[in-house]
Amino acid sequence: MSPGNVSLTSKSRRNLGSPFKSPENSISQTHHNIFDSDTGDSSPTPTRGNYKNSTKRKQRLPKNESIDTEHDDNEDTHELSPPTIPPKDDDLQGPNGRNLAKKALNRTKDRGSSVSERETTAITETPSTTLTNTTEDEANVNCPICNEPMVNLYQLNRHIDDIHSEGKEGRNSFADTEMGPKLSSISDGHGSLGKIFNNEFISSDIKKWFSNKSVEREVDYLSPSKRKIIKMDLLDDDRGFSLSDSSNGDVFREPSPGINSNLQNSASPPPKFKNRLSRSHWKHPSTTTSCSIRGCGKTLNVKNGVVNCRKCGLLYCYAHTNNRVRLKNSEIEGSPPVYDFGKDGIWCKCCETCYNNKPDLLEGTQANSRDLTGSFSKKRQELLDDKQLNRTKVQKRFIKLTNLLAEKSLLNKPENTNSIWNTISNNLAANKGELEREKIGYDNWQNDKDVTNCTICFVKFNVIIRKHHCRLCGKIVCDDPYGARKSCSIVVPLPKLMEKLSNLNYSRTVKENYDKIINNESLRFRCCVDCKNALLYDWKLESSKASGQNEELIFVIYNAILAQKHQIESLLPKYAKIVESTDESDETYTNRLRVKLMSFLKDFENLTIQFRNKFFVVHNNKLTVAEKFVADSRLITNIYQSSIMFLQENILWYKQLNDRHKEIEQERLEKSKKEKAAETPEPPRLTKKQIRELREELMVMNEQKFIVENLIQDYTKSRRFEELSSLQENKQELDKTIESLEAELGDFGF
Amino acid sequence: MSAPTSNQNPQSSQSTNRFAQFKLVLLGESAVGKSSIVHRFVKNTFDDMRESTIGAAFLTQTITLPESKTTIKFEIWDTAGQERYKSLAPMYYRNANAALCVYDITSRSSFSKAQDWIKELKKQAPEGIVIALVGNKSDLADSREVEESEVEEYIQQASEDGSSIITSECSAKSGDGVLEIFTSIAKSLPVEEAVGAGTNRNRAGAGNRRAGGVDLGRARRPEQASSGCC
Repeated sequence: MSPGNVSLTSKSRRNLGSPFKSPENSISQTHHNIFDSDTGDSSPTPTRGNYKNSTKRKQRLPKNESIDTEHDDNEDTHELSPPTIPPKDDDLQGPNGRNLAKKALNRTKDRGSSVSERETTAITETPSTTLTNTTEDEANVNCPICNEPMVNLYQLNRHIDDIHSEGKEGRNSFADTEMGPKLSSISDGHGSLGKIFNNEFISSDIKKWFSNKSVEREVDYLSPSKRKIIKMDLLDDDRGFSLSDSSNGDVFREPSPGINSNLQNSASPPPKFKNRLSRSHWKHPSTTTSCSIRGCGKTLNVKNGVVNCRKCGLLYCYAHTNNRVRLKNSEIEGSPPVYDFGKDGIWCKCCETCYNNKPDLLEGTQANSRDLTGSFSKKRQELLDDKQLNRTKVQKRFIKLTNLLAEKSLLNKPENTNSIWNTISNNLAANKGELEREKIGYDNWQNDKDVTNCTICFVKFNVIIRKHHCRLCGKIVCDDPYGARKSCSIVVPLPKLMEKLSNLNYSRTVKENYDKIINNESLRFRCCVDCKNALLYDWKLESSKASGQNEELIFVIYNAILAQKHQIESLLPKYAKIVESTDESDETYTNRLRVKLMSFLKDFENLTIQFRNKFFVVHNNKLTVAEKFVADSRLITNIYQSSIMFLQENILWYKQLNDRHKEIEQERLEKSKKEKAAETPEPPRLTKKQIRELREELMVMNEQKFIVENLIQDYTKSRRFEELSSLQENKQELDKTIESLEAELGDFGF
Repeated sequence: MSAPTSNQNPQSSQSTNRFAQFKLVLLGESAVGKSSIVHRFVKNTFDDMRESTIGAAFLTQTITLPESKTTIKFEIWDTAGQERYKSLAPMYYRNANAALCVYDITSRSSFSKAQDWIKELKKQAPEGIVIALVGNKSDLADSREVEESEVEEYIQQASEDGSSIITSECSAKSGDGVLEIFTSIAKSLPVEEAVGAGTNRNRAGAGNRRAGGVDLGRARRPEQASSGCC
């Protein structure tokens, strides 16, 4: 590897050229420094620690290397070295190495983005630099502890949770004494890594992890037979059972280095024993158990897995016990373990349900929802209250205005009936605003000069578009007597409003002269749209309520129509599917479906006709909404039209489907006919008498066969072979006859 | 259809004794005494309280015709007369060389039944079958219902188509006439033909273990024949 040559190939060649020579190396894809010393090659080789791989390899390691690997792992973490491409090609160092290395690189490029990312960072690196300059980037994708590549931060998070927080504080003094200094040296030595390790939490986590690791290793290095014994012990343990126990977090891990004490049945159980989760709630597997997850339905066996959820104790398959929760034994004896997300909780397998039910997860999901209904309804109530207030105000003013106008008109009336308009107009002109202004209040009466635009439609006032005061709210609004725009105010005849608002608390004079005022068309005042709406709000509400009865009637029928429609909509596609799928489906089902559909369509049609008869009258060959329901004419016509449309479309489709179905049926019939013709004609159906006779005959034949068989035996015994031939002949004949009889009887035989 | 199975003792074929084997079937109404006749013929015994036959019984008996120096072995299928076992009969008369239609002389219905059997045999049975119409229970001549003249009349009628029917009366109880019937049947059987077929083709033995070189049974057979049934 030449220092100046910073290229893809040089990098890969270096990777590939790493001293993977020993046969063990080809087994393991992870490189460890221990191997360097073993093989005599001491060059610092980039290493990518992969937790799983390393454990795998550890199992293969000879026993005496156990301590060294410890260091090794430590170094892994400490260096956070760039990845090594798993090199199987040990022989790539030859002259062809370059090309082969290229190939290898291409291969690795396919391994997903994270790998290639790291690749690029590694490429920029010069051979002499230590690898720390890349660590910052890599820390984003690699686990800072075991250097395992992660796709994203979420996965990393989970990975740390799952793998590196299993250990327990002070569980293993070995970790504290042996690993401690190492870790501190790590934090001293390397900048970015040091930053990470300065984080107390992480460093403690790492310590824990190492302590765990050492423990694991202790277990791992037991000779295979010993390991088996442990498994057996687990199985034999009368408190629990499992087929897949040994790798789980809750399995008791013996910290003590002594091999013997790894056996659970050792005489004096170490204090950690109490950490074992209770298994009394575990369900026992049987041969027919299936996964408890609804919809999984896998039969639990050695292949699919038979795993007890440590929390609920139910049985699940491997696929549904991939989650982990922290548990501790319940205070109450005999009840299942409870969640514990503190440090003392033991990581262990659980089912999806228990994982989703764990309190912190539930909390997490709850935190994402905020109930805004309260504040919303409060705001809305405020708005409604404002509007109500405004309505009351407007109503009050209207009453006052009515009183005023009525009194005026009554006073003026006797004077001159002919010139009522004049007097009023004069009066109004004279008192313009004064009285009304009084009623409304001077504060509300908008000043002409202050307003340039209509307060409702914001049109700019000019010579043509005049300013008008609403006599109820005092605001300046526009009017459009020519109908060019939508006018914001109108001169309303008082009687029209009074007609609708007859129950208001008018003054006595008004009430007394109600009839007169009602008939007096000359009484009128200007009112803006807003005020009119506010004034008539209650009336509209009431009138709509009155027409609600009609609506109810309409909706009763409409709901029935909708129900039919829904049925048709759900059934018709099904029918279409069945018809269009040419395979021979269940004929009875198809027919039932068709009949059902037909009845639904018919019902729908009937309902539509009923609807029409009820709400429409035929007038000059034209359908018009009946007078009674004119108020809801739009609704009625819309419903009717949509129903008719739906009916037309679907009936057409249904008919097409039916035709198609018939065709298919015909085809099938012909086909089957041909097939039948091709087949041998079926045996004629047997009458009961025939069956009885045939059965009788068959019985006789069987009896005779029995007799003849006995005879044959006897004759054989007495060695009278002369007669045997005819007996055997007879037996064959009997067999033939029986056979033919049985064939004739078919299903009716015995 | 198997032709008369015959075999010939190689030692006696040329000079002294010839051997022929024939199948014989007994037909007739229930309780006319078919089994009794057979037992009288085969074992020379009579059982007053014989149970009705189930299915078809198989027995063998050998007789010697001194005038033609021929030993004839009868393989007798004694069918049950009950209506239930009617369907069995065709299987046995189909390849029989002789049929014994037995009636009870004290029962008219059994005679008509025997006539029915003869009719059926003429229709279904192989050509050349020897039919014998046998009236049993001749010891009960006092309560006779079927007169000999009647039988003669019927025989004449039935023999119009050229076939011959042996008629006889016997009593299984007393043993009168039983052996005579079988002897007359043996005489009317195509002995020469059967013997000839046996020597010429040895057809019957071709597929059988009898001809397959096992001589034990054959060597012993004459004694067996004389001793009758065990």
